[in-house]
Amino acid sequence: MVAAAPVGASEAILTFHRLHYGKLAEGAERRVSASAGYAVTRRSAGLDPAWDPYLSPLRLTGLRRFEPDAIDLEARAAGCLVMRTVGESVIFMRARFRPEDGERGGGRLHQQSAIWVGSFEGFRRNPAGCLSIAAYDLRALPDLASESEALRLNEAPMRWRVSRPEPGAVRRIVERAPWALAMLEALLDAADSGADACLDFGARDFPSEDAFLAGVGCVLELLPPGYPRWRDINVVSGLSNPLPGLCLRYLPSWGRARAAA
Amino acid sequence: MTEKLAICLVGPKKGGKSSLLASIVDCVAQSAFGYSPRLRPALQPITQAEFSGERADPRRADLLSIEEGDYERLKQEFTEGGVATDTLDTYEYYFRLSVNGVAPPEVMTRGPWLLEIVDSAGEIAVPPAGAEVAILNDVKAKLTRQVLGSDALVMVLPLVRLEDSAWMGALARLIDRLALAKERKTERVIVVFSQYERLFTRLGPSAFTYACDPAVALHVLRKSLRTAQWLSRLRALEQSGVSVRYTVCSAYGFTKRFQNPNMDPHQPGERRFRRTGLEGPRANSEYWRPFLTAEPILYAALGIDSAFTFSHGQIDANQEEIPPASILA
Repeated sequence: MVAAAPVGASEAILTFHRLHYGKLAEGAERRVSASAGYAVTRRSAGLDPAWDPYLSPLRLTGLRRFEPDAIDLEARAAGCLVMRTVGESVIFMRARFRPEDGERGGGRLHQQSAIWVGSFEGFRRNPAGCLSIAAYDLRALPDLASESEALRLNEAPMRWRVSRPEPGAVRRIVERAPWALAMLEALLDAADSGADACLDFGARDFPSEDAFLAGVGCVLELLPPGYPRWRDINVVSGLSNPLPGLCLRYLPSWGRARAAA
Repeated sequence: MTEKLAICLVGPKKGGKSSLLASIVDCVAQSAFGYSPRLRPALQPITQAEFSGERADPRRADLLSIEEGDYERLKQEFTEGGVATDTLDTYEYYFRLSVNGVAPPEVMTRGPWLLEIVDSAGEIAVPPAGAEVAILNDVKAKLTRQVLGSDALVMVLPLVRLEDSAWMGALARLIDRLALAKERKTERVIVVFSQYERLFTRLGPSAFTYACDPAVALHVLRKSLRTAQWLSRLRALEQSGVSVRYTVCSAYGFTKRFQNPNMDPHQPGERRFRRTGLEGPRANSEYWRPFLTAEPILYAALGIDSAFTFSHGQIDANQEEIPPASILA
């Protein structure tokens, strides 16, 4: 639905529509006022409400109920991240539960999700760039009630200029990284078998989610455009349940659990 | 004979629907209700498969297994301060209710009961003025089907000044539409005012004693309903054969031993009292005694009045006739 416009030989403009689901908040601590209920609090102009069922956090996480324990304990502050393909679009979602009485509060929790919708082709051509943007800019923060509703619900799509990483540098990183071989093997095996697969990584493999997403970005940069299961690839961080398809998942507490076992 | 019943919880957001639901099993287990102790009801959460009859013959391996189901997770969330129910779906919980003591024969022959209790975000059925339900309109349609198909409706309202509430209009509209709906299955409507313990915060250890007096509850209900314009609509609903009852409840309840309202002012958010340093299930249950949260569910299922369920006749009466003593005393 949104194209990735080529800029130069190795540059592209990526466009994402966004939708926020959660509650409106107030002040620096973003406390939820007593009158605020769940709502779509931000929507890009041009993001058709007909898309909303595909953007439900329940559907994106594959869960019947999305509850706090669906998120890995060590990922609960920032929330889980899900990247999956729907039709011709790629969808990124960050979702978490935060206290209604502010970031440092201890009261009742509410769900807060930030969802981006971009072009699948844009992702396939620039996986490292897309994952890098998601790693640094996709935050599940409640919108402020002080911001005009007209602006929040009719904002312009977000645009980023991304450069493709230099292939030689990517290859050198992948050749040296112990996790890269496992990812490539899983992706290639899945292409042969056609079966679903989930490959888990933990804190022993990557020190942070950012590092995991950068690693996945490098590996996906090496996949040829003709790879048959591009659309089945899901990248997940901090979500306790794996997604169907080819799921590359990061669970910060997994390495520790494995070490303890 | 086993009877299946569907019960829908509706009410404004933050009204206490999920908290009520999370506390009903403990409320029944602790007999913290206004029914006679000779009734001896038992309520246990079951799976959807058991409700549907798909697991009538459970495997031996299941006998001693402990399953962390949806209800256990709801209880855990409630213990930790609660999670606002989202508007992405409606959520069903399943229970088996049995009566092991003395009850009228027409009641006993119907049991045990398999209950489906539907919880949903308050924004869906009773939205604040001007609000729109987010993301999925088919959730509205699903809840409508569930409300119309339910045997009983439990309206959970926070005990606040009703005339100030932004959801008043939506609640009145809901009752109107329910009254007009021809395909309605509802036989009982129970209006329950939640957060009852908050009325007694200044009474310290005397709080529980006053809360246990049905005359106090009736007085509170009369005062709360005085300005409720939707009361006339519920009276009209009763004309069409629906039994309407009013009651009060508190999911936090009153502390065991100390008898004060069970909300620790020294904890962040809204938390129950617990002994410092004590961990595990005992820490959460040592002082916790929910108050009358089972009342609306037991009335919805059994149709038997307790000392704390009040009809329009009792609400309207000048000199109320209150049973001589509450079993909670």
